[in-house]
Amino acid sequence: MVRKIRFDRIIIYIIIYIINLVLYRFFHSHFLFTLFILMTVAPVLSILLVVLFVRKLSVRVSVPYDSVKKGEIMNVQFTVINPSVLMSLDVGINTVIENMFHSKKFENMISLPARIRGEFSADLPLVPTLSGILRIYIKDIQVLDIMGFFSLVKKVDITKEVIVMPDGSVDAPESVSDVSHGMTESEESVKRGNDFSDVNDVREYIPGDRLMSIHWKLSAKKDELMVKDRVSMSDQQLVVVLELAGNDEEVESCVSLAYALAKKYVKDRLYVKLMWWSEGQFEFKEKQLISEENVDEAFAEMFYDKIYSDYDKAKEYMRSIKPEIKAFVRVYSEAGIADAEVVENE
Amino acid sequence: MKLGRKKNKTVENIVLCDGIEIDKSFYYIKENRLKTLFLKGIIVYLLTMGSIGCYLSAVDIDFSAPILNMVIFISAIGCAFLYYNRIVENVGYILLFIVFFSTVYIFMDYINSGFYAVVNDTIEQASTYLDLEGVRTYNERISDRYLAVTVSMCFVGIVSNILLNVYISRRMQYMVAIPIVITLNLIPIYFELEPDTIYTVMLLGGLSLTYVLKASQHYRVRSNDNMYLMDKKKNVKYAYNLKSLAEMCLVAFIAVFVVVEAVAMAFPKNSFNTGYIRNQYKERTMETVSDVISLGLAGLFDYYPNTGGLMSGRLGNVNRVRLDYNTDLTVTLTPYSYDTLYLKYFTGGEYLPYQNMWQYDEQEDYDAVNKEETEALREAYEEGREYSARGTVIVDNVEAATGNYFPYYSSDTDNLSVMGREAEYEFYPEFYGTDIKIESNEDLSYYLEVPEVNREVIAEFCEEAGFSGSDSEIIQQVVNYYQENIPYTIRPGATPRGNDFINYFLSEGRKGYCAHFASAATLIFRYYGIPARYIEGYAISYDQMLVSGELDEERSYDDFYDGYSELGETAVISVDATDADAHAWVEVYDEDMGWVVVDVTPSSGEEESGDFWDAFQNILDDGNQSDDTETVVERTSFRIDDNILTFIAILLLGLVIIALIVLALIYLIRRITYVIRYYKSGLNDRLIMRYSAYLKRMTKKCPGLKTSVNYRQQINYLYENEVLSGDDESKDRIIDILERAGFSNKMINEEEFKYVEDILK
Repeated sequence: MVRKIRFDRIIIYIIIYIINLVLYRFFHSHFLFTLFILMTVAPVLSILLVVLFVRKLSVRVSVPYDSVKKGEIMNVQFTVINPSVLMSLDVGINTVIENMFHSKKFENMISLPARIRGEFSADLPLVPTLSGILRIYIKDIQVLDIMGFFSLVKKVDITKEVIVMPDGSVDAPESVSDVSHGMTESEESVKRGNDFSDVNDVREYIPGDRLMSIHWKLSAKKDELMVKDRVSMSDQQLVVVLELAGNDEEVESCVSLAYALAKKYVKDRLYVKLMWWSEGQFEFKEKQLISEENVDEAFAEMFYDKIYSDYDKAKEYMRSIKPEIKAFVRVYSEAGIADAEVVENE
Repeated sequence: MKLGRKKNKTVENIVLCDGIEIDKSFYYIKENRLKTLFLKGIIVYLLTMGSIGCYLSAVDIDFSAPILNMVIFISAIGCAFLYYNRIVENVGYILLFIVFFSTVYIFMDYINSGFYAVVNDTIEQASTYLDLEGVRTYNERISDRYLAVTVSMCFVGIVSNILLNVYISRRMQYMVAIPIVITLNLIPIYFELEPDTIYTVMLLGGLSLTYVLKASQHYRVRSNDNMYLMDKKKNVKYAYNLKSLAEMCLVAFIAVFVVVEAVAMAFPKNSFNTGYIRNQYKERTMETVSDVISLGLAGLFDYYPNTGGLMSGRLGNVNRVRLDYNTDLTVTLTPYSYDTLYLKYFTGGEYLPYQNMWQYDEQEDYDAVNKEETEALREAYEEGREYSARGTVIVDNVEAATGNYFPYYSSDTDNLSVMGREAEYEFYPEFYGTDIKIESNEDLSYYLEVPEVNREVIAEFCEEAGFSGSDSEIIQQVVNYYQENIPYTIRPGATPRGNDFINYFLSEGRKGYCAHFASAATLIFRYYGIPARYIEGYAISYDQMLVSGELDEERSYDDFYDGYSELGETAVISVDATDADAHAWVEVYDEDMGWVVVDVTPSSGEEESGDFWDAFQNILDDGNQSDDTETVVERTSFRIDDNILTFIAILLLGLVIIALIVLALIYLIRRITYVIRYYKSGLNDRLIMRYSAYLKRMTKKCPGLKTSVNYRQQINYLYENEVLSGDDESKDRIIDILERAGFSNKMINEEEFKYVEDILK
């Protein structure tokens, strides 16, 4: 498919061609005749060669890492691969570089030569300054013919994704770093290793129930084994709820703060769960964090969502469909400053 | 790769959009531009050599191809390298011009002569094609044409290289290159002369490469060596890549070669024009081209030029004499004297000032011109006196105006010479010692009239010249004064509007050709009371008779001459008189001899300057002409005088010393600037400067280092390649210190500076 035609160049060429033709008619010179033939053959050859050439031409994108820290240089290598004996001095790689999480996109053309039966690579040192999923997508390549008259376009579909993690430069705030602050009694007992969680129900023993759950006094009275059915353990876990609301900077600071908290909790060997409201899927999404790798995985998964397009609506939804937990650490941004607070559900 | 602190400060990361940037290190990836410039130099070489080669081979001029190729190649590459950087460009151009003009000065004669040789051969080919006769050529001072043409074309090549380099190396402007290299080659092409195939390949190859590189959009020489650049839309483009450019050039050149060879095989040059009938448009131009070849560019314009023929007393408005060298008369005679043979045509009696013309002499009886003198001489001949003779002259009017063209003291002056017909005159020559005395009743007062407007100027002129004495003494003084003080030129410039021709010549112009000298002398003689009149006609010198006279064996000497001859018995010859032989002189009245010829025009020679730059001037006009035959002056063979050799040696040595001093100064200034900057800088800047210098040194040893674009990659590379040694901790520390020094506002401390400095040592 022809993408771009350089009419100015074609017109100038035609003018020179006509002048030469007139001169040839006037002088009837072998030299001018040779020039005339050359000027006739050249565009035809140029068109034929570029059509043949484009078929075999391909490009490659290489990224040395799956994930990088925000602010780190990431060399993205673009390579033009030409197995043919033809060549072009201008192969434009139509590239889209996108941060999916922040919905930021830039489209540009990277112009490289295609050498005869060879490869030509260029390392583009990208610096992601927002966390998220950085997607590098090549839509097509545009090959300029030798005469520079037009560019032929070849569709390609190459995508590379790199996870850009927060840089970890933010410290977890003291106000929520100690889980004992603001936690319920039962949650404290979990921390101590005892189980003083609330009894929800008492029921008959089912094989498989833990011995610790047997309500010995009642079993003695009823002469059959009764067990205490406690509130689910998961509800007793530490939950970090991250609000992806605000502008890029606000969200970025929230993400950094949440990332720091999550890392810290995991380091402190606490059971932590990351929750966030997915605007796209209209539900809370959660991810259990047991190790530091889990933290990165959780954030990577979160980065496939997008920051809220409508903060107020998202807030409303979050309030109405609040997580069914008694308390959680809310990470949010207010007046451009990220903060975390413990919230107890009523 | 430069990672100077200064640049890091000024060049920020390129923000593609919020959250995505390109690191500034991308700016610092370098490509050695010398390689690209070398390639461009080759293109310039192909264009220049192709162009010159096409011309010389088409006109079939011998030259030393290896020397010319070598000189043009070296100068083309040298010119291209001038764009290495600003300093080299500025200093280099100055040095280049010094060397160029010095060598032009030294080889001026060779350049001049070689240039004339090329022009002469072109004119010769043109004459053959256009069937022109008597076309003038230029004096070639050097007998070794081969050498002169080679030297001359070397300099033309260097000029072409300098010119093309400006348009090709920096901007690939093929639209400028095409007229530069093609235009002159249209001259031989017009005359159906074809260049050699090899030069056709070179010329068309060079043009094709220029076009292809321009079309590729990757050709510009920029102010820096950055390998990549970014446009306003933040599209990334590579700026330099020798290998791809070289491959493209090779492909394009091979394609051109194949096409040219294929055309040459399918349509051989030799038979290309077989059966070809010139088109009518070209036919129409041929007459004009013939005029241009004969007359210079003046042939294009139809204004009042003195074409060198006779002007019948009309003077002024003549900027220059333009000779067509076509034969006007063919004169058949027997040479009898060493003196010039004057064929009289027009007699001017009264001078009309401001109208700038001589009035036809109404007193002269054209049926019997110089009747008394002729009668006296005939009488002497018939009486058989000493120094008397009778001759016959046949004047064949080839292309002259109808009129009388007869030698002095002819008896048949009523015999009109019509174009295309012959007229025969019987004449009685006058020799020194001829004993005649005429008796005339002619009223001579008419020949003493000097217009009032001329009198004052003539009086001043004569007073200044100091003429005095008898008539003959005054006549001789005038002749001598002219010879010594007023140069002869065929380019005197037209008399300004409103000025009198003679007054202007004597007071302001003070240079001219025969009409100027003869007109002024006529009035000067009259001023002193010597009867005089202005004469136009043809003057054929004895030398000319010898050189260009053709022996007419069918005619007998006796039928043409009888009596005394200074030369003894000679033979009948025919000699052509062209407009170059048209002349003006003065007749003064001698009481005994009657009207006698006085030729006051000084000999020419001033015009034969042979200057190189005159040659360019002469391209535009008819310039420095010799006679209608080529004159090769055997001035020198190829032997350069010892003094010149010494001069060349001293000059070259001087230039080398100047170049070295300039380079040393550049280095010194850079060094001093560096040191000043270093000591003015803080620790961060100092460290980065030290590191940059270290990196520059290391890059020469480890070319792979070029691919590392930031501090981390560079240090890692140096450790991996064991240029630096140490554990990971020290490596990380160096990187950390460098990154802080390069990118952070926090100042590193002395200990950190020393730490890195010691390792880099």
